[in-house]
Amino acid sequence: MTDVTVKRPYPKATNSKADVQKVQQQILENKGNTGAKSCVLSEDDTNWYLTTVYETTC
Amino acid sequence: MQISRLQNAFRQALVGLAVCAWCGLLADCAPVVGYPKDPEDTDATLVTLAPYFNGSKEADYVNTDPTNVVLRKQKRDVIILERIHAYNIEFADFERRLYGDGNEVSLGSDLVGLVLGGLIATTGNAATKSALGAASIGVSGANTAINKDLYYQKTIPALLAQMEADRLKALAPIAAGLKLSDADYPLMQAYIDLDAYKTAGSIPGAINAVNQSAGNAKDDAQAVITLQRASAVDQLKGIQTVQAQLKSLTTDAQYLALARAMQVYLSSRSPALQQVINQLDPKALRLSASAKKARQIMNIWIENDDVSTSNQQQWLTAIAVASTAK
Repeated sequence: MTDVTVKRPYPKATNSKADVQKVQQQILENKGNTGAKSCVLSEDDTNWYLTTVYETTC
Repeated sequence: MQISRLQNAFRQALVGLAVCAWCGLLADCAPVVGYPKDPEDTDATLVTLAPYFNGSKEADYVNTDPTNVVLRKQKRDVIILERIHAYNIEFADFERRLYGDGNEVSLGSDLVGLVLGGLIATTGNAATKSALGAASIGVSGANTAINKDLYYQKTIPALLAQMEADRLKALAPIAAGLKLSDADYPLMQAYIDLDAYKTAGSIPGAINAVNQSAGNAKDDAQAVITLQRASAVDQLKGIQTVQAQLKSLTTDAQYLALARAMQVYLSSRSPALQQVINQLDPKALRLSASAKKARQIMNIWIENDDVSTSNQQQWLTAIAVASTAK
């Protein structure tokens, strides 16, 4: 089984941290349907990032 | 009757013994080890190389006048090269045993099994057939047991190839050092490189290197896919709008129908999103065989989809169509 990692950048210029956290919350709430193993919020100077790891299923 | 039975049993035992003895001879004759015979008496050579390992040549090198750079380099080079020679002899022997032993056992028993099988088919006497059959089964059984080591046999060539590659790699700094003066590449530094060269020819070293390669390949397979997002708020709205409608689907058939209905739109999505879906469902099981996969992929697609009005409308229409599936 190979996990698939998806990284989504959200420009800080147009997105607040709270907004990105809401998306993160939504992803975590839906992990029973998507098989998401984790969803981590991170940042650099210009972007917020949500990194989600999806588990492949049979 | 009793005597006749005893005679038959005796005859069977004799045939069995003869077959076993003959099998032993054949197995002894069968070895094919895959390497030509080495004309060098390597044991004798290793004895002559002992001074390069027991400190006597090293003491001679250390006691050489440091100002005599030519002689010192000459002595250093000889020590290094003779040590490499010894390591090569030991590695060749190690390699020969690793590769040769497995083939020897397998080929011997295979040939004996084949010959016994042929004899059973052509021998007319029932008692002899019975004895040969038993021997054949025994040999085949032995070979089956040996073939439990098939994994070992198939793995060894890969490990040997890795060891050869590692040794060549470890030899490079030594070869480069030999071109330098004794001051720039003293013997003690060469010893460190020689140790690395010696270790490169080991099974644990090769296994580590192979595992490292496998780990790198796995990392490549798990490369991060980046999906550009302009607005977290818009994305959230899009997810929630479609997910609210998705709740109307409850059966496996409906999810399979949704996956099929959305398939025509996949090529219109970003290459990154297509890559995510293809990696998660490379055989497209969502379209026919797996409702579980359809449910997962549809939810992931929604979660990562662009939130344009037209894309949302595609989802809503497809969900409406899928909801009628039975």
